Amino acid sequence: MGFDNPHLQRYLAIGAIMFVIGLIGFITRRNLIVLFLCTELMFQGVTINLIAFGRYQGNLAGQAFVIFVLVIAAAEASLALALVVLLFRRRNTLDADAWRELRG
Amino acid sequence: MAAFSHSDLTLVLPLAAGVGSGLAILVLCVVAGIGTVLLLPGKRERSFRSIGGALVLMAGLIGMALIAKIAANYTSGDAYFWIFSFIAVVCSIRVITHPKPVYSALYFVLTVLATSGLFVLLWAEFMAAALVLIYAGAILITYVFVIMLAAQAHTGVTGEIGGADYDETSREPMKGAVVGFAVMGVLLFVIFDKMQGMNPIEVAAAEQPAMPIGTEETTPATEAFVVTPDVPKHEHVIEITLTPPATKPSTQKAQEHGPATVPATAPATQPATVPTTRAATQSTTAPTSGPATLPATQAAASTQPVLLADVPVTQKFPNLVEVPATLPATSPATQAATQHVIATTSPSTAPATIAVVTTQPTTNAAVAVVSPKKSVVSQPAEGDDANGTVRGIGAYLFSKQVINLEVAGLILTLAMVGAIVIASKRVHSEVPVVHEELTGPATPVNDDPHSIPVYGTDNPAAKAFPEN
Repeated sequence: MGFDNPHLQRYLAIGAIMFVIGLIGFITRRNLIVLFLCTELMFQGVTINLIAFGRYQGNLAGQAFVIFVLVIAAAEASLALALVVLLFRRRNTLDADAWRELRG
Repeated sequence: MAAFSHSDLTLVLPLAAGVGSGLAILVLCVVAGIGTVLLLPGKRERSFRSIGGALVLMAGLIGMALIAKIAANYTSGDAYFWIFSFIAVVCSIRVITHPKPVYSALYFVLTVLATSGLFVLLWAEFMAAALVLIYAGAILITYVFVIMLAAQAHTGVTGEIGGADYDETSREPMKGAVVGFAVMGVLLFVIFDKMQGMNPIEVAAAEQPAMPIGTEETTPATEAFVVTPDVPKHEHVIEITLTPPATKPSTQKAQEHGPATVPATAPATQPATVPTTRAATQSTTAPTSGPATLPATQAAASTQPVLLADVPVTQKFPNLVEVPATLPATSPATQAATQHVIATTSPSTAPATIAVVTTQPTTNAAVAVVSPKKSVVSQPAEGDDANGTVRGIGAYLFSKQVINLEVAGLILTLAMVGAIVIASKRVHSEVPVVHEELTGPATPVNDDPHSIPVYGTDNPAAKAFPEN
């Protein structure tokens, strides 16, 4: 079974849909933890794109880059959750609107 | 006339399909956007939310049907793709619309599992396992920990059980949905319309010659037959290494031996054709009985191998691959279409070994001619299938991405240290802590000795003067 354009299009469509759903969640949700969950959702869409392109081109670069995306996601999760814990201890809420003055 | 009508149809049909799918994508994005606005958490009735869910579900199903119509010719593995992608999309919508963060995290675990299923369909088994381990095993656990801590502290302070206000309402759902679904519409339009009829691999295959000949490298014989690590298992691999070309190649003919020999009948400078086929279900080893004398190897005094070709041929190639090698090897792989053929000459007389290895049942084929100092190295097909991807990724990462890998490890270490530093920092709460004893006495003091029993009750809240 070859992996040609219609196959690639299907996977790219799923990746795009998941990315956009994560984007909508990131815009509209107010809980800080759910915001970072939505960034993880966007990472999922990007990894689907990378793996589909790697399969399409027939090399391993896509999968290797997914490893780096996982690394970035893990680092981002640890730092972001530490920040969320810090912010929660200061304001005693997880509301992103509690830090509205950061908008400037 | 028939040719004209065919070309006319091929010109017209993508145009009509393009306009139709563009409109369909637009309508579907609008419908899904309205549904998402209704589905996002907010102060509205439950019936509206169910209507929004129905709208999103309908738009998603119609969109999937459209994608299925576009990819109608391809049915292998389709059911798994639709199941996994349906689970992924529905669960990701639930991640962003569920009012409770714990349920969002659990739905995200389902999304990760469905995505790893898609990875398996894309022949990225190791990445599927790594995704489940890292995301569902490590990252989501920390998310759930933090969510639980925050929820416990929240209910402990306010005393109410239930979702917080910032979870029950969403911030500007209309604008967010409009922006998001505009992005989605543009992306899907580009994917499905602008990519129609564009196939860069076919173009590259048509422009390139099938074999970049001329990379003559004198490598030691023991390093000659090296499985190139960065070539995944799904490709044709034609790797021909042979001794230096014969001085009088055209005068000699090779004898044919056995049913699975390699008939070398062409002159040495003539391009040999190696038809590689796709099906390999069995594995037979057929050594030739007699001394199969190959022209190139007979005349070769030195045993320096010449690396002729290292050609990754993509799946788009037909079964026939022209190999303009100086070795006249016409491998009858079409005769052995369902076999895993290893044809070896006897090592005492003939200093060449020809192995035709068809390792992948679908598209994988490897043709190798190794120099005499090396015995036949042919990986078993099942072993290649089992660890080909992991080994390939490891070789790729440690051969071509070493710096990036080290940088990634450094980033992880720094993130861990930074998280510890951030979380161990002492902060003072800006919100004044509300203590219950400041608001007044827990029980009103009643001085009337006849109203309530001051002593002699077990309920401490009913005591006017509770003894400690």
